[in-house]
Amino acid sequence: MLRLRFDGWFQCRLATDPDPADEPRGVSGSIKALPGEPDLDRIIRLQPPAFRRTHTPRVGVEVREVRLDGELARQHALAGAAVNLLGDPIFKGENGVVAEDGKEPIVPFVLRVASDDVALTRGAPDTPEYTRFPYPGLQAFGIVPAPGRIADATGIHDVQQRLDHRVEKLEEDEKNEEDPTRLENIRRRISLLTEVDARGQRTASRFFGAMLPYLVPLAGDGSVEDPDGRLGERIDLDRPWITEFWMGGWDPDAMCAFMQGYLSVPTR
Amino acid sequence: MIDTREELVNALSEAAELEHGLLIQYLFAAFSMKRRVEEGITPVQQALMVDWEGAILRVAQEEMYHLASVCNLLSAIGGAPQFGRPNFPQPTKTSLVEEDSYYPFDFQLERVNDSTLYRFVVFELPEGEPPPEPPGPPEPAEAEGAVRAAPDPLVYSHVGELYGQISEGFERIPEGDLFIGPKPYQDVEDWGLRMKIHVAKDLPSAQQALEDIVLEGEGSPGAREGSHYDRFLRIREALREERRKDPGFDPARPVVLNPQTRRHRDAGEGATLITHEVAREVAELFNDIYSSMLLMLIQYYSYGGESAPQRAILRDSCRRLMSAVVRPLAEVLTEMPATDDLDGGNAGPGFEIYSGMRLAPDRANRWTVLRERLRQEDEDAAVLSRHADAFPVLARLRRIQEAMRGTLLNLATEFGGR
Repeated sequence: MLRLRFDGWFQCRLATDPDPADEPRGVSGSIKALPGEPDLDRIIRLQPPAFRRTHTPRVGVEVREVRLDGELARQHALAGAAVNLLGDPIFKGENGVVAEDGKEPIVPFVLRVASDDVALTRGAPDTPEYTRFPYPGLQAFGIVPAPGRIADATGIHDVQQRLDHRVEKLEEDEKNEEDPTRLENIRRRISLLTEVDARGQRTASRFFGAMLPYLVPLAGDGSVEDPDGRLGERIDLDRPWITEFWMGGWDPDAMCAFMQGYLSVPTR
Repeated sequence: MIDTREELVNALSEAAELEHGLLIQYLFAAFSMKRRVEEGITPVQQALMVDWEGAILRVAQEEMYHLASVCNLLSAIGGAPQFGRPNFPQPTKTSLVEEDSYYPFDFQLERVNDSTLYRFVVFELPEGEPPPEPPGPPEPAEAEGAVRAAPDPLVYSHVGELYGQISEGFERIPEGDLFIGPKPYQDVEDWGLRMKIHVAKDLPSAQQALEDIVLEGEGSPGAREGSHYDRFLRIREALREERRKDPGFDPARPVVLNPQTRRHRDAGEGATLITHEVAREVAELFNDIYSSMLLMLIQYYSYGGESAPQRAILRDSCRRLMSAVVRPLAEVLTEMPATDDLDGGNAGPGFEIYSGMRLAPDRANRWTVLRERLRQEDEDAAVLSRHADAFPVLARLRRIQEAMRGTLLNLATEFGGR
């Protein structure tokens, strides 16, 4: 059994309820595209995106640890490999028509783990549970409060301090910015990061301590790319692979969250 | 004077119509706003308009909650929910002998501009507050004169005044006689927006509901901040400020006034017929879906024997349709031509009601009718989506269809998909 542990920040620039899922700028929901930024598109990006706001976490989900039959394999060809979801996947809640908050399925679901030499790719089963409304096999298990686990995973033990630090940097930028569009963008970001709700809590950190757990069997089409035989073991495509992970630590200014999980791949 | 149950039911029914009519005018104005820099706005103006649209939509949402609270009040005193209303436009009464007019307000579906925002401020004008500076000619008729002309026994010049009379009516009728509505027939849900629908079970709770509705609209003397009146005043001032900086600035798409797919007997003069065939069919689809949503609301608020899970399905379907179908389809319409010559302005959502809507007596039949309607609407959307090559904005229909099909499946769960 090959077991990969992965984590990292991903980006998802998505309109939120009650905005329609295809709302491009964000009107009624909490997420907005700011002046000069591209439209929102809901796509979950696990690898560095074309657009990223300044002073926000680097996007990139990567393999942190490889174990073969339980033994640590530090030099494995997939150590440090990039983890990606193919096919422009989105959180498909559709204002609750498909699934309510915290249960949104990721559609489509095709996982790829690739280093320079080796790549494993496999999708969810091609059955109605994974391909048709309401995609029950792809749904998350609901919102789970887990501030401690998220702090450990992200290394952010004081989210408020982290956001305050970003505000300081933005305030510096504001002093030196002359372009009216970029200036308005910075001001709106500062406003978002310093806004407080009726209970006095910063809205930007409201969901940082919550996560969505997923477990998806990968039994659909798959492929193993290993032209130089670097893997050393034969990957079994007849049996399902299993990926379990959580997504949490939502940062609405960065439009990023953290992802951590495992991919278990049977070998022959 | 309101001093009988019937008069109180009539007044609350009129309040429900008013809230419904107001919120639709707010939605129409919000949906008319330009969204892309390619429409002749700067990135900063684009963000400004998102702010305005968001603020107007928020007020519209609060009006939906007012409408729900009024339905609770009606239920508490033995009345039925009121979701009917005359079609637009309903022009202001302009003379003492005017008989065609309906409200003491100018009810129009109009794209956002200074005159629209002026009307919105007047709708929410607190008693004793000076009226806002009118827009340029043509000058809107003053509401005060209209009130004197009103032939209806309900005489009022602003929304708060109507609620004041309703409040007095509640005081005049003995509490023990008045509150005959079953207590469970009250909507206690927050509909996912963390806002409060008022439960009316006795005189104090009814008065609190009325007071809060007025307060949300008008604010209180010396504390208008955050009220609907205040929010519209601010947007109007921001629009004027932007126009001072950029005289050519126009926040809205060229959406025609009171777009309609056909003439309505209950509407006044001043409508614009959508004659472009595809746009008209999209508008008809919009109106049909809007009516399906109203039917769900009537079913939900009539307490006609649906179980708690069935009521939850109705509520959730309604809420989801609003966001995932009604709003995007309304936005689509504001990017379609109203006429064949393509220079006659853009179409828009007319929120037309083609016929009276009532609660069918048989519970199972109500669900059958809803499913039939949604199925037909889905088929109509499929036909219209074939025009996406000519009108790229119709590509949004694919997602709208998905949402309708999902809603249909959700509605089917309670009666085994019959």
